[in-house]
Amino acid sequence: VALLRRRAARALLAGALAAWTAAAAAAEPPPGGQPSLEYQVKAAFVFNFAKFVDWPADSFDAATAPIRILVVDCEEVAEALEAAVEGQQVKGRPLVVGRAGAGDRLDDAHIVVVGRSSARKPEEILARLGGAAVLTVGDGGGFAARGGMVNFYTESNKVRFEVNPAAAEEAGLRISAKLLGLARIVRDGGREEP
Amino acid sequence: MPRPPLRLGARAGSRPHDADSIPDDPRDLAGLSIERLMQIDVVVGASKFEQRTSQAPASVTIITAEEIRRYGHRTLAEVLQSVRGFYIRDDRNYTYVGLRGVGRPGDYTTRILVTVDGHRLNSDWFDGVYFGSGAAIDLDVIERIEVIRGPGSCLYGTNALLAVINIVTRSGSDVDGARMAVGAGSHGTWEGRVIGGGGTGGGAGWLAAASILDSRGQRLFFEEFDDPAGNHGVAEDADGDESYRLFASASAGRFRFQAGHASRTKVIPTGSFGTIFNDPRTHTVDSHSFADIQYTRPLRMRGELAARLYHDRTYYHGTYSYDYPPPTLFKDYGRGYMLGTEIRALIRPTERQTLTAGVEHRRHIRLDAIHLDDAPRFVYLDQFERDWDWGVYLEDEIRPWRKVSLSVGLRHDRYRSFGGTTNPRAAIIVAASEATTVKILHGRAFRAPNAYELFYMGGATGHKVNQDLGPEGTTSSEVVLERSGRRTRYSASVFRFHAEEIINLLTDPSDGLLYFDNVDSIESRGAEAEIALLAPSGAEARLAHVWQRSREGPGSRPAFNSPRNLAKLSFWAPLAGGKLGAALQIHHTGARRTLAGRQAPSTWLAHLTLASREIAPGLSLSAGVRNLLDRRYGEPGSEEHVQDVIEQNGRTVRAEVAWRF
Repeated sequence: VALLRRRAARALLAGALAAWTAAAAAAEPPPGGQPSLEYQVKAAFVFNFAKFVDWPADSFDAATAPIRILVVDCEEVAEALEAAVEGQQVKGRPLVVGRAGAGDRLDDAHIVVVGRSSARKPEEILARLGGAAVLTVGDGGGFAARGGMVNFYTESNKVRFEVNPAAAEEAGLRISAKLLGLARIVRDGGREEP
Repeated sequence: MPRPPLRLGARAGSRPHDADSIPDDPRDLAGLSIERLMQIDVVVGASKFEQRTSQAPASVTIITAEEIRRYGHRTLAEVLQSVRGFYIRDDRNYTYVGLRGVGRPGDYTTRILVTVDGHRLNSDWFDGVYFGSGAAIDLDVIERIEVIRGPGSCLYGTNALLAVINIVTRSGSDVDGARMAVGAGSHGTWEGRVIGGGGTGGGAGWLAAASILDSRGQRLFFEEFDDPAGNHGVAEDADGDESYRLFASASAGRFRFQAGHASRTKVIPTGSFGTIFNDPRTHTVDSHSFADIQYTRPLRMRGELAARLYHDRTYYHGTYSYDYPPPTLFKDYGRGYMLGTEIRALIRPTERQTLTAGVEHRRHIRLDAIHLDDAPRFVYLDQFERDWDWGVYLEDEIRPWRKVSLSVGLRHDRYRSFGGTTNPRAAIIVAASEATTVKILHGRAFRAPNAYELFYMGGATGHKVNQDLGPEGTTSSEVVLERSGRRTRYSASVFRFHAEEIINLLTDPSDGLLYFDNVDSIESRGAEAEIALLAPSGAEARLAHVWQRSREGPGSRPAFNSPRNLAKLSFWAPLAGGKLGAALQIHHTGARRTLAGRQAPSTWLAHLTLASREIAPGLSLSAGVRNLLDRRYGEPGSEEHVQDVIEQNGRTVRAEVAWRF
């Protein structure tokens, strides 16, 4: 009886293992995969930023012209943004997401999101923008302290952002007080108390 | 001669998460406000990787630094007292924590695991944790406390029977500057704390903190000693409490280092262990030091590899005044030095699967026990032991369907003393709707016999060692329903907790010697419910009730120190345009059976706290009253006490000034 019981237990264990493997195998990712939560949250931030920034009137061709977001060097943010802005509008404008390569124009966008590796060397991107009225958002690496406008950082597992108001002002962008109130404020070259 | 027994004293990624409801759809995520996005909060403890609490394979409560500030908590015990299901027993020497109706006599809270940033705080000598003023971590250093109910041995090994409490410390960039606080309170209590920290956005940072507490304590009356020899039952200057804590952490690149040291000296006013009543020389000193260095690097498949090396030192020294005759001081020493290492890997082969695997090894390089009489000198025991254990674990979490996730974990531990033990946990988590989650949990957990139970031997102590002492084992089942809306959060659960092979101290009738053996059992069943409401003004109310029934031993008698009902009511409201906050807590603890088979009466206690924001640049104030209505109440004493019920503090007040610069 003990032997039978042991066999039954083994069979049960094997069955459970097989079922588990099958379930794990069946757990296929959704088509195309989904960006990680970190990037989904960052994409949601970028979408929110669009609500709190005023561009100069000549930035748009028409009242319903879309807000163009260009992503440099971060496929995950681009995918997350595409999913996030689909069908959404900000101040009556739809949002479109594009990806920019090394030679592509950046100054015809409204928001440029710069991935982690390029955010560490913001000078090249900023030179390509040439002072155009484009909100620049970097993913870490002291982007805002080196001439960028908005920069993500993480603190205790939460996504936070810092803003360089001087850089935005110089480009003719108005960032709402509410957004500034939530941000850590930085200046070119260094940090400042919030 | 009777001897006192030795008294020792995010998922950064893959999936939406948060303490309440973060939607699964990225478009819904974009609909959240920036404030909300900034709060997305994660639990690390339940699965050793970050995930939203609604996805954690356990019923989780998170206490944030803001809540600690609002409610004016000053010790871990006060924090836990406000958490659903927890209750406290204080014998005026140590503070013990009970949960699920389990709070055994002589147990130094060895069935709850406490970790700080993943580093275990349960002492390697006596297995327990200090929750009162002797806690290793000051509350100012804490960013949040994650209370993960249920068995955790499948990941953490020993002690994780009833719950795992993971303390997450603040980062240097979060502190960003320095803060100093000075406080004063009833019974000659003074307190000072200082914390400083800084960091860069890139993750490098440092933090350092120190705190000190000195309390003269109370003049206490115990009717059990009401005779001329016992100073008519009055213990004077015999309740003093002195403690200090140091903590530092630093992170740079892929490395994180932290270290802490805490020490506490407590005079014992209760005449426990048959000591001379009202002799302030009877006191205990407990200290704990730890250091932990961790290296984390990303892996392919959005994985992570973490390796840590840690060291712990525990020191206990008790002085007990006896009159055999002649009068003498009995001195008791316990020391433990431990080195440990853990390597853990996390991978996500697909978007819907997370695998965690790890190996842990601990080496008790030194476990000392010394017991002696001071004069005339007599050494009962002078002993030196070594020990080791190791564990391997694997947890797999998959999401076969969009709304269902399954989690299975297994850990095998091997101990030099008793061999191996294997502890699994399984969970089914169903997101019934966007706001509603149902969790079905089942798991086993264990507690290995500790150094005290294993090595306290030698004829002169009246003990003998039991070579066959094995681990305690528990089986827990729980069904949890959680529902979170924008302004409300509900949680309800039913649980069953069964513990077997509980270690107890017995006397061998053949030789009269004491020995430990796996003889007892505990069976608890209960139900919990909690509602949290948030008003648009920011005011909040939290109501929680637990009904439980706990039986123990072969005779299935009602368990010691186990209240049937526990209620917690917490209210907080902003006043004066948010410059000030008022918090009221009402805690009900049902009657608890004492060792003499009587009842420590049920209590309703109210605590009030007022805490200000910065009233002038950098300056904030707080003040509080505990036991507002000055209720007289007591908590069950243990075997070492003559008192069946030990009286607790009446109304006490305290106030604090803090500067930030």
